[in-house]
Amino acid sequence: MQSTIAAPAGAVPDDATVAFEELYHSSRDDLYAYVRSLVHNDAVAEDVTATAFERAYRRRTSFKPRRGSLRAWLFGIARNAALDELRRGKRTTALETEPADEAAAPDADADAVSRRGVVREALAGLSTRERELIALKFFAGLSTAEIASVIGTSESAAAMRVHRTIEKLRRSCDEA
Amino acid sequence: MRLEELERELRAERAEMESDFAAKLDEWAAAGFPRGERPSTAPLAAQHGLAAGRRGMIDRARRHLALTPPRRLLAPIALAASALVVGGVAISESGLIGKNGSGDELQALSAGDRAATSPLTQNDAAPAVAESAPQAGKAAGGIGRKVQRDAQMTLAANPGDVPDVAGRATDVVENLGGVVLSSRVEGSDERSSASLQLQVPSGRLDSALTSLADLAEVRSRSEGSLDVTRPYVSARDQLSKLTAERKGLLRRLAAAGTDQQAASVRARIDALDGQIATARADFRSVSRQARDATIDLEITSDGKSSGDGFGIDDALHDAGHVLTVAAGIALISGAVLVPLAILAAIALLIARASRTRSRQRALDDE
Repeated sequence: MQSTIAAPAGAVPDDATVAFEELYHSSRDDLYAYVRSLVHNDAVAEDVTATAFERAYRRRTSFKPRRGSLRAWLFGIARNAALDELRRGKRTTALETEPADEAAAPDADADAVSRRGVVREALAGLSTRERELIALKFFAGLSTAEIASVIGTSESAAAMRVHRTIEKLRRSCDEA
Repeated sequence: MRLEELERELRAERAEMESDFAAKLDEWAAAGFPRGERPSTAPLAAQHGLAAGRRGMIDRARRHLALTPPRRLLAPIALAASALVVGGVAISESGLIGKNGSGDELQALSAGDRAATSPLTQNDAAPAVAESAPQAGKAAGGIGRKVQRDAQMTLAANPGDVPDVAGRATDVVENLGGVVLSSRVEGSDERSSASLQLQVPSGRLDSALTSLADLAEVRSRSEGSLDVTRPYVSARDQLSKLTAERKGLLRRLAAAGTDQQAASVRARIDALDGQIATARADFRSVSRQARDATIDLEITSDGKSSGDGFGIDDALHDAGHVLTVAAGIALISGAVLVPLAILAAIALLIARASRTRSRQRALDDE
C-alpha cells in the first residue's frame, strides 16, 4: 500500500517532502535488507531502519545534491545508525545474532540447496567490511558511485573493493 | 560459479521486512514520523537481551539530539551564550564608560570617607598628644600622607537657573559635611553668574565634585593637591618639643630653692607659652589644610540663552556617547565570544572525528 508522507497540516508538501516520499517508497525494503546484513538481528534492524528514515526525514531540507545522490545520502544515514547501534550493543551486551533461516523451500532441489549453503558459507568467510560491500551492491542495489559515497571513499577505490570481494566470494564458492 | 549464478544466490539471501512492521512503518511515515510513535514489533530489550531500562530517558534524549539538525542546537546555544556575555559586559561596563571613572571615584570616596574621619580625629587628638609627650612610634612615618586638595569647576546654566544651581550647590556641600566660605550671585534675565567658595572634608572632595557636575553643564574642571606632610610633621614636632620643654620647666619651678630661681624659671615659662601658642596655631592651620578641601565654583550663563534646552549639540554628544559604549560592549563581547566559538568548533571537529573512528572500529570488530 503506497501512502503519502504527511506535510504540515494545511500546507502544500514542499519539494523536499515530495522527494523524500519517493525515496522512502523506493528504498524501504533495500534499506532494511542492508541494515539487517550489518546488525544480524531482525528487531534491531527494524529499529535502525525506523531511526534512519526518521533522521532522513528530519534532515530532508539539508540534503545537498552536489554531495551525491539522495539514495546514497539515505544509506549513509542508515549506515551510521547501524554502526552506532553496534557500538551501543557492544557496550552493554553482545547482540544476539539470529541464525539464518536454514529451512529450504519445499520445492527446492538439492542443487539449489547445496548452492545456497555454499554461498552462505562463503559469505560467512568474508570480513564485515566485505559483507557490507556485498549488501550495498546486491541487497540495496546501489551503484558503485553510491557505494563510494556511503562508505566514504573514491569511486575507483569502491569499484576495486567490490570487484575483489566478488572474486573472493567466487573463489570460496568454487573451492567449496 | 558463474557471476550471474552468484548474483542470483546473493540476491536470494536478501532479508525481507516483516509485513507487520512494514505496515507500521508506512503508517508512521504517512503521519510524518511523529515523535513518540515509533513502530516496533516487540520490546527490544526482550528481543536481543539488552539490559532493562536501556531505552530510558537518556536514550530518548540522545535520540532526540541525534535527530535535531546541528544548526537548531547551535543557534539557541550560541544565542544564549552571546546574551550572557554581552549582558555581563554591558553591566560591568555601564559603571565605567561615560562616567569619567566614577567607579574609581566610588572607590576613592569609600577610602576617602574613611580617611575623612581619621584626619579629624587625628588632628583633634594631635594637640593632646603633643602636649602630653611625643610617643615612640608616632613619628612622621606613622601618620600617613597629609595632602591639601583643592578644585575649580565652572558650570554653565541658563541665566534664570543660575541662582537655583548656586542654591543646590550649597545643599550638596552641606550634605557632605562642608560649609560655604563665600558666595556671590549677580545678574539679570539675560546674563547671570555666581561665584562660590566651598569647603568640604578632603575625603569627600570627589563625591562633591561628582554631585556638583550633575547640577549643570560642566565647562571646566580642575583639581590640585599639595603634599603637606612635612609641614604637618614639622609643626607637630615643634609643638611637642615646646610642650615637653614647658613640663621640664614646671618641674624645675617646683624644685626651685630660691625666689630668684623661681622667678627666672617663671620668666622662661612665660616666653615659652608664647612660642607654644604660635606653634599650636601653625599646627592647627596645617592640619586644617589637610583636613578640608576647597572648591572654587563658578556658575555662568555665557553662551546659554534663556530658551536653551536640549539641542542638537546635546543630542550629538549623547549619540556619540551611546555609540562609544555600544562599540566598547561589542568589542569586549567579541573578544570573549570569538575564542569560545573557536574552542567550540575545535571540540565539535574532535567529537566528529572520534565518532567516525568509533564507527569504523565497530565494523572492524564485528
